[in-house]
Amino acid sequence: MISLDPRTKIILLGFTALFSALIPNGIYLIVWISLTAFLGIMLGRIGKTIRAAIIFAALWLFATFVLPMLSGVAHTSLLVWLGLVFKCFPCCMMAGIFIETTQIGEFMAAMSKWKIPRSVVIPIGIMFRYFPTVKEDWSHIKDAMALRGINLSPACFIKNPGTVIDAMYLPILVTASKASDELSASAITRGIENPSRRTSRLDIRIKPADVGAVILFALALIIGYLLTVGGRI
Amino acid sequence: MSIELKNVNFSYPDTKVGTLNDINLSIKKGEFVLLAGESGCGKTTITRIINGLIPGFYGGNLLGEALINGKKVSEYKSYELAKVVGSVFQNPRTQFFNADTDSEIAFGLENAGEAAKTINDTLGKVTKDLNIEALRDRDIFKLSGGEKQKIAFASVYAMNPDVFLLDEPSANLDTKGIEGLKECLLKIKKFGKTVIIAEHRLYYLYNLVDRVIYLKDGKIEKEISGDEFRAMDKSTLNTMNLRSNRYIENKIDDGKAYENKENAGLNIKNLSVEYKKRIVFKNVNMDFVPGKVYCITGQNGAGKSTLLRSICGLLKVSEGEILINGLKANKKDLIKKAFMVMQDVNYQLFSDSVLNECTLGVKGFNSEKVEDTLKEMGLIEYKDRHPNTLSGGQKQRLAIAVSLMMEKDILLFDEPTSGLDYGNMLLCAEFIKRLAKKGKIIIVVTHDEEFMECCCDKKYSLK
Repeated sequence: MISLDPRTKIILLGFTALFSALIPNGIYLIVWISLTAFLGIMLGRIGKTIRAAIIFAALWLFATFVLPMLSGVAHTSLLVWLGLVFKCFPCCMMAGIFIETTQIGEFMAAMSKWKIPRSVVIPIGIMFRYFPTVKEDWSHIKDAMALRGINLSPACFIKNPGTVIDAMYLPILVTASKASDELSASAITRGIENPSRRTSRLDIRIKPADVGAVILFALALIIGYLLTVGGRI
Repeated sequence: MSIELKNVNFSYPDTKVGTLNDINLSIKKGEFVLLAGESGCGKTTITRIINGLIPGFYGGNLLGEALINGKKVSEYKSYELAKVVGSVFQNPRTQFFNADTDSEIAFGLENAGEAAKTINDTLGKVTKDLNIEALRDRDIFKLSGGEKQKIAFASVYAMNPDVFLLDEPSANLDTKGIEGLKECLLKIKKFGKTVIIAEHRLYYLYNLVDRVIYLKDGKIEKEISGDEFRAMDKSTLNTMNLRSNRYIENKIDDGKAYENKENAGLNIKNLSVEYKKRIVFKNVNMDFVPGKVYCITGQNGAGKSTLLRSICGLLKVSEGEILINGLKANKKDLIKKAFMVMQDVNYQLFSDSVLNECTLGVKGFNSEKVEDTLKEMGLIEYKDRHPNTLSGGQKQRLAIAVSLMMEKDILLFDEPTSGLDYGNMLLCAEFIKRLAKKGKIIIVVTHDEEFMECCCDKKYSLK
């Protein structure tokens, strides 16, 4: 098991974005997904990484063996859809690993080492913090809607779309703005606006594992690029 | 570390609530001061002036001077003040920034740029001092409210400020959580820290308080010494619209599931519920008849919310059954008959006006009924207001109005008195009693003994 500096993870995410932008869908995608899965497992996010890899494998098998047998509209629309999914898959998987294996404080301290201003880092940090809160809020709101006889079924939506939409976004808006106010107040009174360099209780340094990971992914990107541009795959 | 407010006047930009008029107050080092008074009397405003959130964060018009150690609060930068004044807030859910407990406790130190070793040493010391070693390295989202509040406290304590400010820290805690909070407060009092606490629930501060500042309509109405406060009896406090200074042990009958011969009301038989593959409770038997107010108590994690959700038809029952008037009710029947007023009522208000809120999703209403219901709940004068601009108690009554419009017979309340002052708590009890008289089945989950004393007929405790 290893741990990586948040900066390394950002670089790897950048590589993955480059990969998706430069290299067309093809067999090389499997290499990249395998590398990402390996990274995820090494970082200790085992279950979800394996699940993502299996989903990818299933889609890939479908695209290779089942899709050619189809024809007409089904073929075209599935082809387009799968093409899009394969384009997004590497980035989503990497981003998932990044978010789940990085603590907010660690991220903020690493950004501070890159001298990124707090006005940029703090909102990103709050966003990180906010995801699980939305999940909690959402389950309460779903309950509240059910008690009023509103649900998310298509039938209910078609009957009165306005009500369903109001019932969804109003409570989210109200609770979110209240929560973000309270969160900010609590952060300010604990000195988040301090302009000096933020530290971390964790050891944030570029270690051999970071260098190794960057080299590995950089090589994979370069080789992949050369192979595809050369038209060999 | 002395604190002084000189001729302080303040008003918020868009509301009259929480205005201060000519406040003069000086607090010595090591003093434990309680700010008491009804909602909107300005006690929270005073804490915000001392920690600089007013005017820095909340804006408004501040006149007069606030001094900490002779230096104006406005001359401190927010992060300088953070080292001197530590603040703990009301809502445990929204005052942590990190997802794990260790990072949260270290948060202030990391902001101040301390070295990693110092931070980790302090982390060890703080958790030991506050007796929360068991909470280290945990996912904060999975902690109870009381545990979250302890972490919030520890995070402030780690920065070792001289002044601790607490704004209704007990509002969302159960009895055990309040007990934990009290221990933390005892500790810092012993260390000679200055403590300023704004609070409705007073009993847990009984032994701690050196002075009470009683506020009314933004003015200091009375200063009461600690001993005077301890000598005050319940009725004196209640006439000042304050809650009791002692723990009230109520003597309400424990409800027993009786032999139900008339098949009236709601009966829960051998109920077991699983949630997320975990058995939350097993073999629960409870009977509820219309016209009485039932309270359900129980420690955190005993499954009170899960029980409420299954009575509302929001959760599947894994074993046993729920009967309404002798007939077995499934999820669909229950959701038609039952309504829950949630602890955070903001989740269930969906409309842009009080009037529209009452009619949303209600089939075949007439305007007469809407008016009657709003009158009954004391909301008719607010009928064109946005629900969001109402006070906590008013929002609650609006949710009740909705349930009346939908003609629900079973009304459930989840911690209806959290964060309410004495007056609003009484009012809430009054409305609940009135609903029971109308023949509704009333079930209240609460840990507020004072509230139970006011209106509860029978109680069940969930173990």
